[in-house]
Amino acid sequence: MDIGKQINEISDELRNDFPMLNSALESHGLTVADVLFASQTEASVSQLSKKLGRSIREVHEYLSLLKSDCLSECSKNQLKKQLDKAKDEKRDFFKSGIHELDTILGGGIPSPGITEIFGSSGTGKTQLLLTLAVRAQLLDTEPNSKCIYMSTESQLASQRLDTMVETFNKNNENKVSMENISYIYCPDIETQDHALFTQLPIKLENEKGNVKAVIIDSIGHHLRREEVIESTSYLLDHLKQQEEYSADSRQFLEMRHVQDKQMKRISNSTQSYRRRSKKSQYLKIIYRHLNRLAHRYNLVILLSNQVSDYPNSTPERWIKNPLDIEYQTGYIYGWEPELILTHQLIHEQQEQQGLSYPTPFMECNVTATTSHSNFKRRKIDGFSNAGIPNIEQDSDKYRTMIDQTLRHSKYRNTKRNKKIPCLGYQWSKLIRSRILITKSYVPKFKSFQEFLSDGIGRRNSSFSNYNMDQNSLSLNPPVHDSNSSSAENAHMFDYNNALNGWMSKRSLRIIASSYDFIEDENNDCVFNFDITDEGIVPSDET
Amino acid sequence: MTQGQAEEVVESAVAPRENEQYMEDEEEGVNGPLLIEQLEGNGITAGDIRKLKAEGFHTIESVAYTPKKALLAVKGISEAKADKISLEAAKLVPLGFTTASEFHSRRSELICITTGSKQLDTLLGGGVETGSITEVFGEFRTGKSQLCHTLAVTCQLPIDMGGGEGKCLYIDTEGTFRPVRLVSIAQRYGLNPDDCLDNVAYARAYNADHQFQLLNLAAQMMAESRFSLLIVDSIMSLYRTDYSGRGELSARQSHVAKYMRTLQRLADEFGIAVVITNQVVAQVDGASAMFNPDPKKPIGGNIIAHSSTTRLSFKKGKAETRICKVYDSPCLPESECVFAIYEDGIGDPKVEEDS
Repeated sequence: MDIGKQINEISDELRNDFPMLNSALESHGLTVADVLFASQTEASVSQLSKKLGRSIREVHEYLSLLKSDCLSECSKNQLKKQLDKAKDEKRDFFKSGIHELDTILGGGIPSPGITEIFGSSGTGKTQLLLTLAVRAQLLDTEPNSKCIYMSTESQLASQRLDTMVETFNKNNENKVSMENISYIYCPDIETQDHALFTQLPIKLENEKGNVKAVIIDSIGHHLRREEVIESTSYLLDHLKQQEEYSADSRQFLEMRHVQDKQMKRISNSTQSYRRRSKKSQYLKIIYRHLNRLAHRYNLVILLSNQVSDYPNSTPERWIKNPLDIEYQTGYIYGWEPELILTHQLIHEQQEQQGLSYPTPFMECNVTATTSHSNFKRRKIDGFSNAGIPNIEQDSDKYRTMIDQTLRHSKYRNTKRNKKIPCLGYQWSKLIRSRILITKSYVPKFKSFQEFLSDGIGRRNSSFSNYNMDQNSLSLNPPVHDSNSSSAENAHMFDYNNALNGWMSKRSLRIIASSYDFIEDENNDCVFNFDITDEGIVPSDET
Repeated sequence: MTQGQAEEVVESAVAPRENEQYMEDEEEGVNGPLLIEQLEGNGITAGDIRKLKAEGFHTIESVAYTPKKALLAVKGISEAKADKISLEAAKLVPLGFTTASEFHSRRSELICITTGSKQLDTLLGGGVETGSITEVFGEFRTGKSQLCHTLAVTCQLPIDMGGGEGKCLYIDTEGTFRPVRLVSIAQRYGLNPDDCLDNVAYARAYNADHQFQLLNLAAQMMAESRFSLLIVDSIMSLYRTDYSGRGELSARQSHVAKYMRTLQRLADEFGIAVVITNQVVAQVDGASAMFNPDPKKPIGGNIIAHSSTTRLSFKKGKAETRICKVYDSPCLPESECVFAIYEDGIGDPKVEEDS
């Protein structure tokens, strides 16, 4: 790590007088921040000097120079200037070339940096990544930039990539080539580890400057479920080794300290708990490694991630506090706002009205409106004597209650978008740019009439035999109004081909970006796209 | 045999095999392998090299492509040393990265196994891809098992006829395997029914653990003779009964994840096609069901969903016709086609003379 790059105005002494120390720092991957952090106590300074193999005196001299350099920078009131400069500075982006996508991202994918793309199966994660792999070659700054594609789930779909490249070349003046995409397949965690930690840095070093993007599809595949870590003793060894490597960083020690305390506090510290924390440490190491590579070689790292279902929360844990993890979870994973807010809203309203769920159902006779089996049982148990207290005056209240409860259960049972990327909260917290891909079905035609007039003509000829019979349609011209016959037709249509009349709508939503771009009223951070031969293209309708 | 043991077995087998490969390269005279002696220097001593040679590492390539874990097993090689050796070796040999175009040309020779229906083959870009997992899901009698039966025969065909020139391994969990179906399908392709039946290795799985153990046996059999297809019909049915309720969900999913990973490994190692079938459940999502054109979804959750490379959804059509829709695939467009089930297996629907 070149020290000159980390501090803006660096004195010549610092750069030239300590060649050995600088190279030692570089070889240990220590940053200025690490060094300054270590300077806080005498013990850690000696630790640092031991680590670097330099004398304590030299380290002290270095530190005092470094501090004065840093201070001079601050004292000149440069902080404000720096901020202004940062504002004016053209932010570095990886422009995908898809205008709509770049717009909602506030310019492009943040570079250097790590961006995560997650979504359920079949939503188009791989398609987006392949598109970006093709387009990574056409960054305006570098004419011949390259891209590295690592796949873990299955082999690279090269036919698809070939089609994309061909179509792209047909439609664009600037040509792309599959030659510029380097590819590696990691069938298991060990290969992935080897590729990430040993091969990738060497490859990047060899290609210095040319590689603009590293794409990993997907990062979590081999890490899903703890047993992966457990079954490979190699990884545990690797963790130990990495721990030793980070042992000099105070941060790490503190982290370890807190973790140790937690471990102790949990009296029945189970195997799974230990495994989980090991895994999260491993994830942090991966993140740190990737982040370091991204910054060293100024490149974009795109990861795809799989999803898990978020377990339904129990009523006791409804959110009161916006800082509550449940609330945050919904927020950082891009659930629809209602889904996050309903929980809280209902809870608040109940509190305001002095009602708590579900006591009212037991105290009052509301069997007419609800058939709460629980209620019936309780009533027999002794609530029958309670009679029917002031139901008239409270009926409005109860109606709202029931209304709310129904609404709530509706949202609770809805599964849409209640997905979270796997690898857990720890990992998600690290990744600052995140894109969600979703897929839903929308009716192709606004009305049945439209379908009749438009639908058949467009149908692919080879399927026409199996679709609706043309003759039967002309016998029943689209003027009919009766619900039954249209329903009949609809049924028949459904029977023949269940998915005609529906089209899939894919959309992409920016959930987080490391550049907090100006929140424009019009910028809703959602972009609908279709998958064509060229890859991801914005869908026609806006 | 647990996974860990399996790994060890595989590894111990890998090192000598790699060496043989490089020996062959040398004979051909194409980019002769770098001898391990060239590693000397940079903190690697002649002693270390002697130790590596004693364990059968004679070329730098063999060291570079071996996981560190295997290097650690070499007597007298410390962890730091193994790191050093691995890093230095990786610097000297071409990396595991290839260009996409190179990979594409290698992959253009990929074998696809015909399904028996031309339309279905077209939809799938030639048939069922080898080296990856294809998941087929749908309600009962939508043709899932019929497709499996047909594939069990077509995978034995010569490559120019759309086959895979290999045997088939059939893991049955529902007891739906009917050899008599294979006989009629074999006749369609002009194969000797007896030979055809001999080439299908059948195993009935009785519980989830047994289903997993069968894969280890499968790996053994595949090492002995050429297989081109592995069928699991159906993947989740035993899990559905062996694990019940939410309490065991996490244990179940973890088992399924392991199972899927082993399937993928078999597909990678032996270049076989893996076909799994899956059941569906009705999605009861309240309001969202109304806006969902297809409220049936495959079971097994996100683990199965993400692990299968190609996912096909089967639906019932008129009479013997069935509809197949590409649900998820890295290279196929989301479209659908119609095929039919006949006495002699899956085929294109015959043109109806009169409706």
